Amino acid sequence: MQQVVRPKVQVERTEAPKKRAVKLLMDLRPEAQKNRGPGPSKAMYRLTRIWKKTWVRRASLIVLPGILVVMAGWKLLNSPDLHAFIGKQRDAIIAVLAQRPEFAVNGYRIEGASAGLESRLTGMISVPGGASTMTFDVAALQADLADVAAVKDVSVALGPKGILHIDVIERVAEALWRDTDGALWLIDREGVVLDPTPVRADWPKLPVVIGEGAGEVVAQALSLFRSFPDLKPRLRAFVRVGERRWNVELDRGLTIMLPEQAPKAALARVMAWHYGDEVLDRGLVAVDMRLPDRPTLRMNGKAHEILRLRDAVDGAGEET
Amino acid sequence: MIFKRVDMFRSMRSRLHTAIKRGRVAVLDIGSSKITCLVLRLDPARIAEADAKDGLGTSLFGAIEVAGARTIQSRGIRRGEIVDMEEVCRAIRMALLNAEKMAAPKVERVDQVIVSFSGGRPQSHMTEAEIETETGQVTDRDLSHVLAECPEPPLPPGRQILHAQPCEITVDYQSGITDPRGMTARRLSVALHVLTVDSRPLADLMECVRRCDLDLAGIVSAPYASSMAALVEDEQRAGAVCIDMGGGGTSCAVFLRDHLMCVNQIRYGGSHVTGDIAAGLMMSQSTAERIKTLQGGVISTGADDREMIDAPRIGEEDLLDRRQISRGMLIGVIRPRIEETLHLLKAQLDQIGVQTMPGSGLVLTGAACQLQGVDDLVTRILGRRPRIGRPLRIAGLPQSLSGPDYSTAVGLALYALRPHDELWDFDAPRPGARGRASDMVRWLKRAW
Repeated sequence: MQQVVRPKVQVERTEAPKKRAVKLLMDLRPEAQKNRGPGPSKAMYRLTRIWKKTWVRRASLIVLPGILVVMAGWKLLNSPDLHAFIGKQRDAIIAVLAQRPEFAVNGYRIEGASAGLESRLTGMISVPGGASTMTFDVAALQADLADVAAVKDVSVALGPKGILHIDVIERVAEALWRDTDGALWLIDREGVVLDPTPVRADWPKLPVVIGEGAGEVVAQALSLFRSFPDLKPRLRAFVRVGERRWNVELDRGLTIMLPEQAPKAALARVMAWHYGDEVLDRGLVAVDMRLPDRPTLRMNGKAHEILRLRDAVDGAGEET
Repeated sequence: MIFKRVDMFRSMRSRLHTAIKRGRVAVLDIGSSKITCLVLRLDPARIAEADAKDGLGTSLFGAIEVAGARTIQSRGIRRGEIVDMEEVCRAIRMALLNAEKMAAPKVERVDQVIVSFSGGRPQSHMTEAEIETETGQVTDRDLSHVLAECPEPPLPPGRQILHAQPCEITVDYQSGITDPRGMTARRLSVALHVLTVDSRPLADLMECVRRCDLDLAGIVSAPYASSMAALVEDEQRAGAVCIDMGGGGTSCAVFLRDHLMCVNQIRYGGSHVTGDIAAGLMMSQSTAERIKTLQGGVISTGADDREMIDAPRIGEEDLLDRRQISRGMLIGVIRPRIEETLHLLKAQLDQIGVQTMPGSGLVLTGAACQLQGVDDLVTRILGRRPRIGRPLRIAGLPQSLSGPDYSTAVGLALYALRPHDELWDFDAPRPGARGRASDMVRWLKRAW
């Protein structure tokens, strides 16, 4: 078989003036290299030498990728999808972990509360069976407990082994308050109403305060109460008058009316008189100390009678 | 005015200074048969230190190091002149990239390049001028004036100045002055050696360098460069002729009292010998080149007639029964061309008057001087015993590049380090100005 040898025909191109970029690209084509000595094309040469510039290398190897990474990272961090995904994953992980026995809430211990309060608090605390230390709402429990009137302050904390430590500072009843309806209430020194109590005799050591607005200033009454222990056996109540001053009600219908200013000094004067002359044991209805420079004693009817009689006797004597 | 002819070179000088400041420069020896590229690392601190120590630069050679070197076959150049610009550009690019690659850790990239120019029919001219000094003491202004007074050599269209070096400064008839500034003198005269070349090949060369995105930091005549590397300092001072037998041409440079005095070129070189062998014995160029290099010589003895060498005809290279010729026959082809070249050279040297020159040094360098027996032939024709000049050793130069054929490249490196003073290293005299105060006044006038 005859082999047909096809001569290589080199077509002569009539070169139209080409643009620079096009010409550079054409330099890269293999046929452009024909009949040429070895050597890099102009484009290759330029690229190689540009690459040798330090700033070009730095820009393209460090700065540019750095900027891209930062931009991509920024975009990713700000995407809501990613946040949702992370949140979902986190919740799932937490849910799994929370079921571990290591994280179970195993009970509670109340400290600093009296027996009565403790039993009341116990009724309020409910720890569900599967409760976990990771999801247990300590703050809500603390808020619930703090709402109880008898609780002055409470801190709830999860301790080791899943025990809830509940430290309670209890309010101490220091006085009885009789409101305008005649009902009796236990109050502490700040005037916070703690509990109703039907029977006065249950709290023999506590003073009674009466009157509108008496609760808020019960500390004053308590201070008077403690300063004069000798009054205790005869004391019936501290009465707040007109929401500004105190009356001290004693037995046998005796009232000591204290001034608005310096009530303790006024009471001290009364007591001094009492120690000297047993003023309070005499037939008085009231000791009016409201005007400090003009204390007034108001006698009862019997005493008036005795005085009248004595005056009559003395008058007769004088006449004689 | 001669200063106006050399403005182009001032920018080259500033580029050279930039390169020295950056500490890296490339030199390109663009010859007819090979292109050599050396990437040099310079130590600017040491150059400055040597400048401060002595103006002569004797302690300079440690300040330079060859970081990368590459020689490739030259393409597109004949007789030192460019015939195919694109090919030359490719060759330059290849040589430079390879040299840079070799230099990579030390020198990343060079932008400034010093090239040699080996063609263009170099012609030397001496011009002289004498003036009376203005103040009785030689100043920079006096130097500028006397240089400007030098008459231009004949520059027909198409010719151009390549070098213009003040080679003889005379102060009040006392010659041999290296630096006349500050000397007390009434009269100052300068002899200027001007080397002119054809401007077209020079422009082609510059265009090639420009196309390779390189800054030209200097163009040096190839014979001048090779003689700087091949002649030792004492030879340069005492007077010597350096014959650079290149591929595309044979050139000679005459040195006296540290200065280049004359450059001449014969347009016959090693490649013509190869051409003779190829044409005369009907061989391919590459075969001719190979047997010239391996078996060539110029002195034949009786033994050469019996020594047979392979000399395949064109197309016969792969056959077993190749043609064999005697070595004497080969020498018979080579010798006439070399003889002719040397005779032409002798005529030119005689014309210059080298015979009467005090120094009698004769140094052969260039690739063709490695031809066996050339030194004997030179002795016979020129009447002096030559020395084969290998280039000065500089740090980092590969052993393969230390032969006499690399004198030009090394010479370019030395030029980068410390060029001779050229005309463009001096300021052109400014008309009508006297002293610094008037300078200032004129500057103020121009600024406002």
